[in-house]
Amino acid sequence: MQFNTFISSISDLERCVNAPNLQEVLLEPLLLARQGRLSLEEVEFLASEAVKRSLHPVLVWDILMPEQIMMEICQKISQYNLSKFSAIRVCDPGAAWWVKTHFPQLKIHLIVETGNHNLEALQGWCEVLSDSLERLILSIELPEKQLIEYCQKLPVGCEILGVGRILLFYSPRSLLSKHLSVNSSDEAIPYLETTVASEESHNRPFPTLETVHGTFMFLDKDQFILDQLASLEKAGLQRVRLDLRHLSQDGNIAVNIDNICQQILDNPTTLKTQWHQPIRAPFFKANRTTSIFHRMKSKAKLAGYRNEIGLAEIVAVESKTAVIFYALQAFEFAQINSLILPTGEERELPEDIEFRNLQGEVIKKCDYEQILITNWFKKAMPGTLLLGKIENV
Amino acid sequence: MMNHWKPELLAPAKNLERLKVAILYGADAVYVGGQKYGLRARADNFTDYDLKNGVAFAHKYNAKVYVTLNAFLHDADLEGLGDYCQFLESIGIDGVIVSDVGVLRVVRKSSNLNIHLSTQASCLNSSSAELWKQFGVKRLIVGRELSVAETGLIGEKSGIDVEMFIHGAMCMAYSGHCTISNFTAGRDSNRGGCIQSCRLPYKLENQDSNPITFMSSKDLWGVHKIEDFFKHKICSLKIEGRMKSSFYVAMTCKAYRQLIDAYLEGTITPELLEKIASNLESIPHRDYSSGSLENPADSDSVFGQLSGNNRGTHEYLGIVIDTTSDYLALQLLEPLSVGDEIQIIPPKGEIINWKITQLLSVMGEALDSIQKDSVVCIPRVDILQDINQFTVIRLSRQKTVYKPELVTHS
Repeated sequence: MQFNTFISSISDLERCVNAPNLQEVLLEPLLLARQGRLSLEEVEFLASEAVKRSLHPVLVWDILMPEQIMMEICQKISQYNLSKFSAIRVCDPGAAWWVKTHFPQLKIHLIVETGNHNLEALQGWCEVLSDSLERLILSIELPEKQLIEYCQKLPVGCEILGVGRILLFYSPRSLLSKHLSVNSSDEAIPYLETTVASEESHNRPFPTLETVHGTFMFLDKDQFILDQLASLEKAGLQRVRLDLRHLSQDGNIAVNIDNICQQILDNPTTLKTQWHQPIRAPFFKANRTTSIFHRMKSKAKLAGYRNEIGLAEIVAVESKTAVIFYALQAFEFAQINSLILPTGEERELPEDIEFRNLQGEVIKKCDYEQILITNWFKKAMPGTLLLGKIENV
Repeated sequence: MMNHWKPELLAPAKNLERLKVAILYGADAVYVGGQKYGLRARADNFTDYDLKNGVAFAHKYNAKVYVTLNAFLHDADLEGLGDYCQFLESIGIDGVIVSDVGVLRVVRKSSNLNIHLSTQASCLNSSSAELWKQFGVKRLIVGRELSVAETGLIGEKSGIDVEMFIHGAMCMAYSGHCTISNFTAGRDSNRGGCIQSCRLPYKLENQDSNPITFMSSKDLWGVHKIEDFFKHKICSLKIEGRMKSSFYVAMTCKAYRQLIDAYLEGTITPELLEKIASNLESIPHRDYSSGSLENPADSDSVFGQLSGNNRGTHEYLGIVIDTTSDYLALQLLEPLSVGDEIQIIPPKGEIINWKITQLLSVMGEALDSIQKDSVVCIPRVDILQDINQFTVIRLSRQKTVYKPELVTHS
């Protein structure tokens, strides 16, 4: 199993050299990366140093960009020597297309961690980016079973987050600076961090970061699947990302990466129990985030009757006095079969029921969208449907 | 030669009633959700039968219907999508709104439906537009982070029609890039389960102040930007709000219809703008902001209200559900009494101020008052002869003592 990690210093690089199974490093310039702090010159320098140490440097360009910003950025990096990098990691589809069309020799790692949770979508990206695409960075919302299938079926390599913060929210707006005092020494590179908690989430403190590119909220627990990689490795997963940026010390963001990589190989269970942060992998075994939906819809039970068989709907009930229907189609009352309540219970219509129009006249048929009035009857409630006979449909 | 080009006014419709209200109040097109594949799991959504009826109604008025297939789906969710697309095509749906590349590919493989790329896909630049062109997208609904000028440039460079939101609630996050619900509530925000965590009050660490809604965005309105939309050839102006009431749909469609037509005719005045803005203030909303329509949204775009998100100046009373030559039958959402002042809002023309002098039950009995969620009749006097089904009615906030005279709007 091969790993990669983020670096921002020579010390980080040296640790990566000593880390088993780690040959790829991720570099984040301030200009291009959500959490980037390095100048382009620093990134270029570290890339060169990485190559000298037989490591593969990947340029991280993971911000989303409105048109004006993208134009400015593309102008700047067009003058940059991108050949130093073994690949460019992007999230914005515009960035991917720009790299493909302007630097076709460069390899793209496409971040598809949001909104790409089916094989058809992933295959679509492979087709449209074709030879430029080297790797897909897959979502942690995909269960293991899906990840295995995708690793086996996709024509490009796949990567998954093995350990690190879980991003919940990415906004282009600066949401913290109005509320937090800015340290004067940090004014040149605004980088604010705090935690935010709401009662509805049981006051769990979610780490929240503001950079020049916007505001990012994370879960209060780290993703951790390093003890469950065997099946993925067998399926051909190309890379596991070890994101230690939130554990940075003194400007180094790959602290202890060499020991961590060794522990993953030797004893990942111990690594898990000793991890610095609370951990979870909520979707690795199964994703049931739509299981509640069938309970959310009030009219879902009767959706199957809102067709040619649904003749009218009760819109109001005047207790002990009247029931008011709204015709969903033109029909004759001889077509009526039964009632169905919002609960799904089917009932017979009272035998002596008469339908009247707004003028009070007894009628035997009605027009579409006409109001119909009957005497009150038991269990009449808004949402109840008047059903026609199936043979009349 | 006079240029008659104008953008499409596109309105949301949660159900058939909203669809009809939207079109009658001036929408050129509506967008609706079917029972599956969309982002509004809690909406009633359109059955296949409703869709057929909705399309028939819309096309009678030369209006279009787009169906949202804008959820980000997992493999199992794609089942039946191809057949559904063929059904949509067979009933004359004018386009589908898609976010997911997988959904997009299924739509293309199974039908010839026009594909509009949802704002959920966060298309923010012309390079992205070029990529989406490769996927066969015919229209881009751009992210709400773009200015009108940027959007126009994207349309010009790519040659694809571009659509922008002109009104309604906004996400604080880049669309499609918020999974708070997924990880904190077990509900997939990108498959319709968003719990609107951004609206909650949060306590910031080490802050002594009370919790703040630092992630809650004000509502968007583009009422002062109409010239820009024309200038930059934004082909469609979209009103957000598939979960919202017929009152909201009616007032927003009427307002923006008036604005678009007045601009084209050269008849926009400060007084007209003020009147339109006032009507938009009457519907439930958070504070309004122009968002990023001109410049990137800043701290002024945050809605700091801790409780209550309804700044509307008027209560929605109900809708005309049926008519006879003598009566209007109203389906009420609020109680109503003799002496109450109401405002009847026709699709075109001035609002009619009316004081209730008579209420009748559907059985013909005179009433002094009636509770909410009822149907009641009021006499269809001369001034109300042109009021038809699906006309919305609002209450004035203040109720006055009963007086028999008629009050008209000047």
